[in-house]
Amino acid sequence: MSAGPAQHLHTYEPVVSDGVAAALAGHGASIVAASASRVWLITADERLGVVVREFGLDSVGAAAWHHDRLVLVSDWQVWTFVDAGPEPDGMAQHLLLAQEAHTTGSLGVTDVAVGSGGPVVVSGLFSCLATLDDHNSMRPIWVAPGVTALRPETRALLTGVALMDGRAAFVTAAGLSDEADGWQPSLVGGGAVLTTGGEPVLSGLALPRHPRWQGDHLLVADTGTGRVLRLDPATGDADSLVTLPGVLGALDARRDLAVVAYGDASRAAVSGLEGGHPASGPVRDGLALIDLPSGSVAGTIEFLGRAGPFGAVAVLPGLASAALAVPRGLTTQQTAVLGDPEALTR
Amino acid sequence: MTSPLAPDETEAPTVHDDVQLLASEGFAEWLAGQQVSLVFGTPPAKLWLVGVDEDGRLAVFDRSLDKVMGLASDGNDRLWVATRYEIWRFENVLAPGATTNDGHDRLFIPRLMSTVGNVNIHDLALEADGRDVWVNTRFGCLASTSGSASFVPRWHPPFLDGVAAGDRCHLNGLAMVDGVASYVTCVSTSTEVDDWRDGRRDQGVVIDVTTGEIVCRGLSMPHSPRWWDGRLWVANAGTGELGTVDRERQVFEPVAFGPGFLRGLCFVGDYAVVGSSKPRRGDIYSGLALDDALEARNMQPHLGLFVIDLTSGELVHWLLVEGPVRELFDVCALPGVRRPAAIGLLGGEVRGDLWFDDTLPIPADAAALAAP
Repeated sequence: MSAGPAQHLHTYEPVVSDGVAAALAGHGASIVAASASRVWLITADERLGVVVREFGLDSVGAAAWHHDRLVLVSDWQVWTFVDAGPEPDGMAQHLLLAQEAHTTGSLGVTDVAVGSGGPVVVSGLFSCLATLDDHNSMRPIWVAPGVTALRPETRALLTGVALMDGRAAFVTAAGLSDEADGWQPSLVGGGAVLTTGGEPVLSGLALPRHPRWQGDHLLVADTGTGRVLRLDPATGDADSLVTLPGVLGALDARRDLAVVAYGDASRAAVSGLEGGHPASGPVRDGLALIDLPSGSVAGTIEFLGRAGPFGAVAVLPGLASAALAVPRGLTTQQTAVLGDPEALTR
Repeated sequence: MTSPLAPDETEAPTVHDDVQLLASEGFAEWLAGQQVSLVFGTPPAKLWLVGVDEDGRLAVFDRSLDKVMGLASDGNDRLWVATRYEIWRFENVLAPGATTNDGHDRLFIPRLMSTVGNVNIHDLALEADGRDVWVNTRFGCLASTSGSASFVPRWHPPFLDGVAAGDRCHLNGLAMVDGVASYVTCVSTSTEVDDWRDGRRDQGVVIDVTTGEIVCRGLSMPHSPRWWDGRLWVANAGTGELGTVDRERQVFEPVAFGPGFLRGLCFVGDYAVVGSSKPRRGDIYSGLALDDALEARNMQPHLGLFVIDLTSGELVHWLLVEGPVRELFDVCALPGVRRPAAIGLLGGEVRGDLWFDDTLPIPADAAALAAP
C-alpha cells in the first residue's frame, strides 16, 4: 500500500454570527455542547470575543447544569464537574473540574436533569427514567406507559425529561410501544409529550426531545420539523417559537436564553426525518441562541466540517468566564481544591 | 523465624501479561483454610485479586488500574482502591451465595470514582459510618473525598503548621481503632519539603492522632500501622521488620523479619499478611538497615506478600511477584470470599454488564417524581 496525500479529515472551524457575543454577555452565560467524540465550551470574552474551545471526550449524550456543577453523561459514566473557582494560571473565572464519575454502564441515555435527589437520566434503551444508585447500575423510577418489561430493546424511545420543583414531571417520547424498537414506525407523527403520571400533553410530534420547564410553559425541540415549541401543559396548546434549518439536536434553556442544536437531516442520529424550512444546500451543524422573551434567534454558531450532530447542550447561567478540565486530563490531575477542614469522627 | 522462599517449595507460577506470581506450596490451602481472599496492587498498572478455585488451586484475577495504592473493604462486598489520582469504590453485585459462570463468588464493579488529584495517597481506611479517610502524603494530612472538592482535610500532624502542597514528613500510614483514625506513621518530623528523605534510617515516628503525641521514635521508614488483637502493629520497612509498638515504653518490638521493604499489612486470624517491595540501589528504599539485614542473611529482597504466623513469628507462606514491577503499597483481606473477580475499566464489560432491580411495577418515588 502506498501512502497518499495527507487528508485533513476534520475541521471544526466555528463560524460565529453577530449577536452571539452580545447574547452570551447579556445573559452572563456559557454554553456546553457535545457530539459523539467532542465537547465544546463556548464563552464570550471581553477582549477575545466569542471563544470556542474543543475537548476530546467520548460519547457524551446528555448534559445538564445544576447550581455549581455540570453533569455530562457519557456512554457508561455520569460525570460531575464542579466549579473549582478561578482557573490556575488561566483566564477563566470558573474552572469546571471533573470531580466524580458514577458508573452506570450503557443505558442509552438521551437526556439528564438534576433534581433534588441528584441526576435523573433518561434511558432510551430501557424506556425508563432512573436515578443513580450506590450499588446498582441504576434505580428505575418510571417506565414509559405500556412497557411491560425493563429490557434493553428501546421499546418506547424516551428522549427527554423536564423537572418541576426538582422532580421529574414531563417526558418526551419518539414513540410508545411494548415491542423491541417498536417506536420506529411512528417516528414522524408518533412523538409525544407526557406527564410522569402517564397523561398525554401533546402528540403528533416528530421525535420531540429535551423538554425544559420555563416556569409556566415547556420548551420542546420537535426534532423532525425543526420547530422549537412553546407548550402550555395545562391546555396542550403549543406554538412554534422558531423554526431552524434541518433537523434539531439537543435543547437547553435557562432563564431567558435557550440554545438549540441543528444540522442536516441526512446526518441526523435518526433517519427518516425531513427537517424544518428548506435550505438551499446542506445544513451545517450549528447552535442557535434564542432570546426567549422576544422569541428570536439572537445568533448562531455553525461549524465547518462534521462537528455534530450535537446530542447534548447545556446553558451555564452565571458562568460568563469558564474553562473545562476534562476527566483524567492534566489539569484535573494536577489541580487540588481543598474543601473546608472537618474534624475526624470520634 | 525462618524464611524459606526456596524455589522447590513454590507451586507452578501463574503468569499474567509479563508478570509471574509464584506461591509457596500450601499457600492456596492456607487461603482456603482461612476462608479468605486477598487484594493487592503492583504499580504501575495492576490490581490483583487472589483466591482459590473449586479444586482448591490458586485462582488469580487481575485488572489494570493506574498505580494502585491504599486499599480498604467494609468486610466483603465493598472495596475501595486508591490510585494515582483517583479513589474508586467497587461494589459486589452478586447476591449472597451466587456465583458467576466462571465460579467467582464476588464480582466487584467500579461504581464510583472520585478525583482527588496529585496527592500521593497512601493508606486508605473507613470510619465507623463508612466514610473514607486516607493519608494524603503530598499535603501531609488525613483527608476524605468530597463531592465538591478534591479532598477535605481532616487532621494533620501537630508539628506541621498546616495543610499545604509539598511532602514534608512523608505521612504515609493510618491505623483505625474501632472505626476511628487513631495512629499514623511518618518517615520523619521534618517540616521542610523533601527533608524527610534525610531521616529515612532512623527518624520515623508513630503518632497518636487523638493526642498528637509521638508514641514511638527512631523507626526507619515505618509504614502500615494496624490495630489488631489489642496491639499496635507497624511495618518498620527500613529494617524489614514487622512488629508492635509498646506505647507505654514507646519502643518498637520486632516480631518477624521479611526479605524486603515491608509495606502493606492486613491480618487474618493468627496471621499477618505483609506486603514487600524490592529496594533498588539508589532509590529511596535502599541505603537502609534492610540492606545489611539481607546481606547478613544472604537473602535477596522480594516483591510480594508474606504470611507470618503471629504466634511464632515465622514466615510460613508467600506469594512472590516477578517481572518488571518493584513496588506494592497495600494488601487487603476479604474474609469469607473464596474467589473474587472485578470488572475493569478498559473492556466492554463495564459498559455492558448492567445490574439493577427490573421488577415492575416500579415502586413509587415521591422524592424523584412529580406524579408517581
